[in-house]
Amino acid sequence: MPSFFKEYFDRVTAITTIALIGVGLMSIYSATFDTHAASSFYRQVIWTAIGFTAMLITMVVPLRMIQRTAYVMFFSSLTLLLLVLVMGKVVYGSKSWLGVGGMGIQPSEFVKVTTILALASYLSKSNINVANLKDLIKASGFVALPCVLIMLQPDFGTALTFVGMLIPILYWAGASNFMIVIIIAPAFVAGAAIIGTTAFLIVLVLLAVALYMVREDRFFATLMFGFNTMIGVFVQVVYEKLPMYQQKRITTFLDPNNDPLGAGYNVIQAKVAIGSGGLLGKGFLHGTQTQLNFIPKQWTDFIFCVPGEEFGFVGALVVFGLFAVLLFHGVKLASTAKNKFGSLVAIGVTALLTFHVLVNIGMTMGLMPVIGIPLPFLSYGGSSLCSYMIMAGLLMNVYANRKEY
Amino acid sequence: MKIKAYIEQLFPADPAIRYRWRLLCVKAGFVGLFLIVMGRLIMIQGLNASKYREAARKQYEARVVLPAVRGSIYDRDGNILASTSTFVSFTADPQIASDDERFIASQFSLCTGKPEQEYLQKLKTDLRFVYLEKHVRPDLAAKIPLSKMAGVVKMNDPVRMHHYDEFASQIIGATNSQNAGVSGVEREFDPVLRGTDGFVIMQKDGLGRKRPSTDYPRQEPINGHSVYLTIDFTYQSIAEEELKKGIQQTKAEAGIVVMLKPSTGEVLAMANYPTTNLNDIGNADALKNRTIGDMFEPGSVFKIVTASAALSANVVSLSTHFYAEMGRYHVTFADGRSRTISDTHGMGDVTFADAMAHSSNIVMAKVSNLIGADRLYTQARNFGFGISTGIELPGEISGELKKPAEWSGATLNSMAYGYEVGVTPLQIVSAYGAIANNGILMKPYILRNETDAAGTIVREGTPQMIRRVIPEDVARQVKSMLVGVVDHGTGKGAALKGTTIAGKTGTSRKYVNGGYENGVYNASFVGFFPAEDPEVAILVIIEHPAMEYYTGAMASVPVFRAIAERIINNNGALTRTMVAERSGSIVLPDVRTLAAKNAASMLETIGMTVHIVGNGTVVRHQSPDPGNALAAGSIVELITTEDATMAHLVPDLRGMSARRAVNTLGSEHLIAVLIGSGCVVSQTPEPGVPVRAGEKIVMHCEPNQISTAQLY
Repeated sequence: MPSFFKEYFDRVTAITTIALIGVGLMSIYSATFDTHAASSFYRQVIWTAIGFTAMLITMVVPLRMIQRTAYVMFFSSLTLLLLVLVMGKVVYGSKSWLGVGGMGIQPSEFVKVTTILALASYLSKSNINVANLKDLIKASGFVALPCVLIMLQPDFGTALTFVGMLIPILYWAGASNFMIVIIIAPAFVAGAAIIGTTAFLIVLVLLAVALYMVREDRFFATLMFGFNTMIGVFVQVVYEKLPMYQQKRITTFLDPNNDPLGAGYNVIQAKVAIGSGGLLGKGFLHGTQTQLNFIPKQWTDFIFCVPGEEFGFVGALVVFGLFAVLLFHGVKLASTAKNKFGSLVAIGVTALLTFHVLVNIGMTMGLMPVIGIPLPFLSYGGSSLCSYMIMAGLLMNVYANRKEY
Repeated sequence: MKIKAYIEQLFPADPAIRYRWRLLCVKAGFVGLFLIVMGRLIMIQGLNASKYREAARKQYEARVVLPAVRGSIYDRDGNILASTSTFVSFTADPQIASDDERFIASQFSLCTGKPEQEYLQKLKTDLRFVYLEKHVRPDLAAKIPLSKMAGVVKMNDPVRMHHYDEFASQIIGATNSQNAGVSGVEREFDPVLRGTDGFVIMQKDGLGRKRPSTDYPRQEPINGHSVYLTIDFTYQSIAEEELKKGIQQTKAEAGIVVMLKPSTGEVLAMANYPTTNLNDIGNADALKNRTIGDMFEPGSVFKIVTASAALSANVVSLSTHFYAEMGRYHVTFADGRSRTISDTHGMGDVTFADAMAHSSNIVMAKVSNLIGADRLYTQARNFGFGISTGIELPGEISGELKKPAEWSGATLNSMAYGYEVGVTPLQIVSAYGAIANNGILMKPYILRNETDAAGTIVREGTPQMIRRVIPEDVARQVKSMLVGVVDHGTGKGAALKGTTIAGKTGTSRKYVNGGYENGVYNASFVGFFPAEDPEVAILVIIEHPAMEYYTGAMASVPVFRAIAERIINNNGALTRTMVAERSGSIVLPDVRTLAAKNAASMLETIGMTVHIVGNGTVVRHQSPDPGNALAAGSIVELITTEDATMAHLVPDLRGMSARRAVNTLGSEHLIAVLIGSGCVVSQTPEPGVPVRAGEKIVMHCEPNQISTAQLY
């Protein structure tokens, strides 16, 4: 029995997930128990129970069945996204909520799961080779569809997570370095163009080196270089034409410190909270910044401040370590799974989680633009918690089936 | 080409190696990104933690000061002279408050009794800040329904109250708007009176709301200590009243009275005229305590130094004869310069004792030649001249006593009668105290004790002997010379039946702006009594009296006498000895409530000497009290009042402290009935109602409530 258990039960994923959810519940409790949002903790407990059920189901459903129904799930979740656009609730400026009884759900969170599954299902087909541009574009279509729908809500941050997940999957599935460079480059070029001419030129030089190193067709490489240069120039020209306040909005997005009372307020407060935690923190329920509500809506996107402040560097390190173990485990799983679909699902889930973790923690510490994405397992929010637990269930499922072809 | 080979090596064509490479890439990217975020974490939580901690503290901490209550100042018997009460002030933003100005005005009017119109007026302005009412009693302030008033703000306002306005202003001293002492005892004892403010750390939350912090204990304020002075309320009052009276009578500009107890050095009174109201300082210059801060050329009162030095050195005795040159004495000094020394009353052959009694400058000059510079200087130094006394009051100067090396040829003779030396009034009176105290100089002090907020004594003023100035027998001889001054010399006017007074007159010049004022004379008298066992030493200086009063005898002696007389009447121990000495067969009748003239003639017919105090028509109070048996010729003091039918009008006691009210009634011979404690809020009968002596006045008191009218 123990060996069977060891063979089929993914203890690493289970333990790290449960530990992270535990830290999350503590943090939510700490951040809300003394506020008008005190009921959040109990809601989250209920969602945790729901999520557990979903995780267990996902874990035991045969992987092949998931693979076969991936498209169905994908397209039905897309209809939910359409439904949201028609009859969704507007929360924080985005029409992303669908009211179901007393509890609302965010379909975009579940679409993350279905997109990974659909993409993995597509890429695992034997006749698909992402080294071909045609197949690569088709594969990208699986991401582009939900991306566009989510952008319409509009929820730019969530849409971006799909791109963050797409690139590692494509790379894992065998897309050439050239393709990856081509996909990534425009974003970097555009960003650098806004920052300034020097940054723009440096990125162009790096792009040229990268294109040379990935040694594809010279003509196409030159074409791509020219295309990227045009994007950069275009962005720069458009940026200069923008009114001052819109320029400021963009620079604030890139560097929140530019606007300490507006968009930068949260980041500065988050940094103060984490920084003032020091090595050992201020103690559970004793974080001054957390308890005194200096960080608006802390229990959602800025939840990392709570362990950071109340448990200090040690607490932050524990959260970090749990994620690192889980995600490294995910990469290992992807590399050891014999089944291509399972491997792609594992890498997709890992990539998506990694993107969330790095961007979320990065933005609370002022490293990344504030794009409003949750910290997996910790942030308050039923839909996101459920979808991440389903993802954990998928990892566990892949683990159990890792030796099957 | 080499580069190309290198790159090919990096990206091998073999799918298996390619796969491994990819895995490595993914892992490396993964680790790299994690490391970047980790680095950031270390930067924020490790390297910059203190910076962020400080930023956090600034954001969430709001320090609210809990002010310590400043300690009170009392006289030696515990009469409260200065205390702090917390009042409430109301401010308003008229632009907001004007919305319900009628309501606000009516509520404030109800509270203070002022017309509504006054408040409406205050709110009719373009300003954003006005004081609606300052210093409202807290119990009244609580009646203002602040929560219903937009734009009205309440502030706690600790107010220093000096309960007797002008009384002892220079001793007590003033406080500034921050309630810190700026002069007198308020300044000298500021560190102990002030106490230590407490604080409570409030937490501000992200929305700016405050709440008490759980992380920090509340630091309670430590209230200031109270200070009990050696000042005697009654003596100080008598000194101030008589000084003022004397100044008015002699058309003088200013004056000083200092009283101390010779055996201990306790300062009993320090009166300065002109003075100012501590609660409403009009003339800030009048806050200077000139009894320690002004320098005088002492004149004849300094002759005790000459006498002490001469008698100690055995160069003269009381009966040594001198020729007083009939009032004009031409001296040529060693440096060739010459001067004529003159006396007011020319005399021929006199004893040393009589020379003192009649204040002969000529004899003193002659005696000084016998003493010599060093001995005279040392004697003056030993009496404490040229050195500050170290009394616990700010602004004391040391005076000026030149060393013999700096003396000119004339200095020795001049100093013998009190010229070419600068002294403070306190130095003079404490030197006389040394004579009274059989030759031992005591350090003057003013702190009787200091108590903490709970009333426990933490520091006690104790008598401190400075030195023996002269041998006891010399002190006795000097004392007898001073008794002679009052008995048959220039101080005759000071004599009081029933007690022996020792004293000395003087005419001196005041040191102003680097020199002594010419033609501006200060009349002084300093003495102590009873000479046998001196209870009190008193110095009176009347500054710049009208020409006809310019000598000490004319201007200061009557003031000294009036003070001495009233002190004797007020001091039980002294009165008893006096009555015993004066006692005879004549029993004093009760003349109170009689017409002053009738009472006076009645007493005179039985052989009393009558002094009428005040210019009323009816006797309100007599001293000694009725029933005492006196000898013929004893002085009876009648204090008169205006009212023809009823001797007493009930004074307005409202707003007074209970103690002061009782004192006031006592001096009116009315009986106080106190209900409650603290300050009088109401009284029956009402103020101004005529009553007879001995009638009961009922006062209702409440703690810490002094009406605003009393203050402003």
